[in-house]
Amino acid sequence: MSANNANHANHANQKHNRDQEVFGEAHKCYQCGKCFAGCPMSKVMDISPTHLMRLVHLNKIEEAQKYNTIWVCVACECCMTRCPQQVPLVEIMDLLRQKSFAKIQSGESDGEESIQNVVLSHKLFLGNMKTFGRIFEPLLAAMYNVRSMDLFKDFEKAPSMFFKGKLPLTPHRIKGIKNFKKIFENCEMKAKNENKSENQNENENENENE
Amino acid sequence: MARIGVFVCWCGENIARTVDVIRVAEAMKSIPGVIVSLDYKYMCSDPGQKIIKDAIVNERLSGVVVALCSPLMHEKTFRTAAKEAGLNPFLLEVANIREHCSWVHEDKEEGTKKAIEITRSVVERVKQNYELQNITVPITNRALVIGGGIAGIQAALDIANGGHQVIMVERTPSIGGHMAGLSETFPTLDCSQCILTPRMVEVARHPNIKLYTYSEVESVHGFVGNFKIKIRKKARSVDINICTGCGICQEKCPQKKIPSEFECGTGFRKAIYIPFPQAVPNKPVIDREHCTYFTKGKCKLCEKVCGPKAIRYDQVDEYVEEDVGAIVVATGYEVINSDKFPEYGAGRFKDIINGLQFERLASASGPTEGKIVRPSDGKEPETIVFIACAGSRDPAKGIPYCSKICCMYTAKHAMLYHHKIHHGKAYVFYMDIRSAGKGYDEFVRRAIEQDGAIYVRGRVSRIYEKTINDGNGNEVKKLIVKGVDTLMNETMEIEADMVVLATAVKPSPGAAQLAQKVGTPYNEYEFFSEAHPKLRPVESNTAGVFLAGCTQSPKDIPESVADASAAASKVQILFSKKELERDPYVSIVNADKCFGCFSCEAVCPYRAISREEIKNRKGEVVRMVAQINKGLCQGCGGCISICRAKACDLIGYTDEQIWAQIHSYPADEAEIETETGDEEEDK
Amino acid sequence: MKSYHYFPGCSLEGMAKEFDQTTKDIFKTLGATLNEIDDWSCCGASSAHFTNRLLSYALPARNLSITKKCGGSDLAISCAACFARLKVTAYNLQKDAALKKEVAEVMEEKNLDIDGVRPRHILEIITKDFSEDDIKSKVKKTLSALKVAPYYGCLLVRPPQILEFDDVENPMIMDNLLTTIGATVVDFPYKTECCGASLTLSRAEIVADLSKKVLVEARDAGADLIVVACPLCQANLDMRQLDLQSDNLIDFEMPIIYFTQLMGLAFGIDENKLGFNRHMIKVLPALKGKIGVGVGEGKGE
Repeated sequence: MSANNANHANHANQKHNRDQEVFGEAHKCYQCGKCFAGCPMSKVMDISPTHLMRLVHLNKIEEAQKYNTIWVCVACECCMTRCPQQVPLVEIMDLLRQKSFAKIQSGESDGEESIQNVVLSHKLFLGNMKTFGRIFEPLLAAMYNVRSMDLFKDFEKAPSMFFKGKLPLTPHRIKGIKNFKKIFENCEMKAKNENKSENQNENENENENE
Repeated sequence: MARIGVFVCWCGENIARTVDVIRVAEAMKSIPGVIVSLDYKYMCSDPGQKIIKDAIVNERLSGVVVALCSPLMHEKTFRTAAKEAGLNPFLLEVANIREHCSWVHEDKEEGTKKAIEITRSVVERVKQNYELQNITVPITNRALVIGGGIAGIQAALDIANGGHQVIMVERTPSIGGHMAGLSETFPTLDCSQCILTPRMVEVARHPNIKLYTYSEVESVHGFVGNFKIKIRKKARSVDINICTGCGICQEKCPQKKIPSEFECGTGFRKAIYIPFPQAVPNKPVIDREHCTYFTKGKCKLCEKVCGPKAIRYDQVDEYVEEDVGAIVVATGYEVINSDKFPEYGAGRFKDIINGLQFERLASASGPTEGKIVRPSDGKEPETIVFIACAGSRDPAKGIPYCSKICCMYTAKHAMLYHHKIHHGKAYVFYMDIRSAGKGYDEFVRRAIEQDGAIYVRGRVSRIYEKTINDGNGNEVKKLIVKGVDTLMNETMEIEADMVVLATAVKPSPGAAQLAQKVGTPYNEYEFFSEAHPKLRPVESNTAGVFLAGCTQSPKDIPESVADASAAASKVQILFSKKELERDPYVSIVNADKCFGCFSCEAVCPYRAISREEIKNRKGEVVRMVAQINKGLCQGCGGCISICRAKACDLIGYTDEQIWAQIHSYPADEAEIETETGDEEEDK
Repeated sequence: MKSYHYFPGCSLEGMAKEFDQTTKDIFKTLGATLNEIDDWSCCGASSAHFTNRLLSYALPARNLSITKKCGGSDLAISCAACFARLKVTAYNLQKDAALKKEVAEVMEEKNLDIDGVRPRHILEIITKDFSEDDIKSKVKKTLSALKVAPYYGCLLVRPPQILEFDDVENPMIMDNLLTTIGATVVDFPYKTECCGASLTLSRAEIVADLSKKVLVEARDAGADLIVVACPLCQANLDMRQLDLQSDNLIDFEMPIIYFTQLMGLAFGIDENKLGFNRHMIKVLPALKGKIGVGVGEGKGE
């Protein structure tokens, strides 16, 4: 292996260890359901947070990412605050989302239909931020409407909002935008490489098993 | 001249597989002083022991080394055999060539060499052994029982009925403990007080039991068989010898709104009060913190109305000393309060109560005469929610253990509720059901199948209070319970009238301080530590101190009673002997060398070291030296390590004995099988 | 004269300008200055930590680093989400040296120095750094006839061990502050229940449903209006209320205002200069007849 690959492998191993460490915390869950009982989003989740923890505990990570649960979660942290076993639900959810997003970014998966809008909103949010350094809300809302093919969403509010001064016409671009973009690029690159290494590891494992 | 016999055991294949036992026995023959050296397949068997006994007699052995398994296994066996053959048992030592050698190595050559080294070292040690006798300590045949709940009562009655005197110390004004406050007990639904009060009366009447109520243990000194207890009799402000228990003082007392400890805060008592009508003793006590006379200097109504003139405002705490030989700690438990649950309102909502409070509401002698009503408005709850595991099994709240009794008493509460409010709806939120006793699971099924309790598997995330319109134009305060049914995979929101939390069980307040007074260990939750979790559950690690009931861990009444009888049995075993025999491995101080720095006193964990005066012929004190109490000393060696004058030594493990053992190890590997006589020079 | 470095956050520059303005007004009245840190950037909000772990730390770290370079220690933040992200970042980077190194790498900053920078929410600053008397002495109008429901939202109080903001189940900082300025605070059980946050773009119907619960509970508790401390909560409760009304899911109007606006009102600032007109649900009708002109509440009260 070339030095670069070795580095990536090393890094991937470290990350792999961290992933295992975080997902491993799910073994503390004794399925009491307190998170489920207090979750404001539970009614619209495909599977409950309790069920999700069960899947993570059994290392069924890919299956866990199939449901809309992780994207409909708003990270209000109610679950983790009340969990009697102190399972780090927020960290686990974040990690599931990050891995799922990496796969979507690399084109490996489209994500289920029900969550595509949510993922889209995050993509656009990040893109908007990357362009200006701060969020330029009117453009974000407009782009979302266009890309989600819901052109007239909240449209009836637009005039009122415009006259109330809630919709500025010109964005503010920060001075350090160049370095800011760099931060984004570096982070995106790292995530991409980790995803690639993980896929490689998985393939290697599969080949070994065969 | 030493005449040592060495006996090497094969232990079947256990030792022989990794150690060439024959070679070891051969190698010992070349050590000066070894008269006989044999090997045998099973030394601990009767024929094996006979070989040793015969050798002791025939060869007039002055010392024996048995090379076999750990001394913890058979040292006693062989020492008894030696004694039977006429050799002082402390002239026999075990060389461990199994756990320390054959079981931890695989190479036979290495194993054999090591076994030779070990055995030789013990031979050299034994040459320094001298005759010892077991230490005997007299025993005071009286027991102290701390705590007057059901466990304490049972232990006291068993010991007293066994013919020994018992001192019982209870810190509240009456014995009975929590059981006196329960409504009914599972699984029979017997009236709790009905089965308890006869025992309480028996304690009061028993000629062998001396009862101190409203008293606390102030200090404990001494050791097993010889404890000196100081008890503080708190001032009741009433002379109980004159008081007839008529109760007029309580009736007339104007201070009415003091939350009653017995009622767990669901009802009130007066400033002068008898905790409950069946109290033993049935005599009042004045709560000086709330009494008008003690706080403001006015009133004194009780004195005026007392016929026998038993009120004594000037009474002070009295200290008494008692000598006992054994202590049974039966201090019981408390439950955590609803204010420990921020997600359930942190105690702000009056209609959220705990299990003991529910017992008082359900009890016919309680503040509501057995009617289950809401504390906030006195109305009957149509919908009641019971929450199990409130605080237990909850590392986030600092209590990871299971409190054991809540599943059962929650089922009981659901049943009592149904019996009293037939049309009511009872929900029980649980995670698991723990009902392992006799008839227990059937009891829980009865609550579900016959008494209509709706068991929901899941927990409650949050409870808050909300005022709603009840449909009849009335505004009612309800408790909104947000829970989940994991079996149905749905959240559940219930508008409840009342919520009962089955809160976690903790040891009674002050448990840690008492443990320190008694000198016995406890764990991080303040439960007293048992000597062995499986095999010695009612003994503590401190000789003479026994445990019964929830002092040791959460448990129900039959287990507490069993604990108590077991502890009583242990006490009676102790008292069955005239004297206590224990092995002689204690420290000893050479008064000539000791210069009185008393560092040893500071490090002794058993408080076994005291100061002795050395006097001249005129009787004047010229020096102070350390003195070791053989009864308390456990032979830990702390004083020996710290003594700068080398005045301390351990009997049976003297410096000479240990040096001999160490010096026997050869410097050179080649010397192992051929070394002879070098040790003589080193001495 | 107290002085703080200030991080407004993206919303306060755009949709929640009135929060920014009234925050500055309040601090001015109390005699403290707010210095906006130079060239600040978005904290990343939910989208960053949902999608990329390092990004979620790097974005706030950039602002913490700027603050340090400005010589600042206390960083005043109005937006609850920004506060949570910045404080979590400061906490985790201090605890985990390896993480800090990784973050510095992606930021391409050789020496990432954020030691001593303390992100603080303005609610905490106002209630901790100024005494009750300091605040009371500035009150010029009585608000006692106004019944308000304080809504904290989820990100101000959780996770409690990192944010150390207030009691996580029943926070009282805002309740007490509003009582201090003379309003009548109602006991309201939905203080920390989530409003739906970032799902307002993609799943507006969920946000409407959650917001409805908050609005109904506030109404049942007897509130005239809800007072918030987060621009996203304000937007959700305010904007989505229009959806609820048009779908006939609620039959009342509940104005949603920032606590700084209410404080400004109490401090005597002209009610037309507090940005009330920028809210979707009309605020001024709810205030009518409930604001008295009274003497400033001094120490004798």
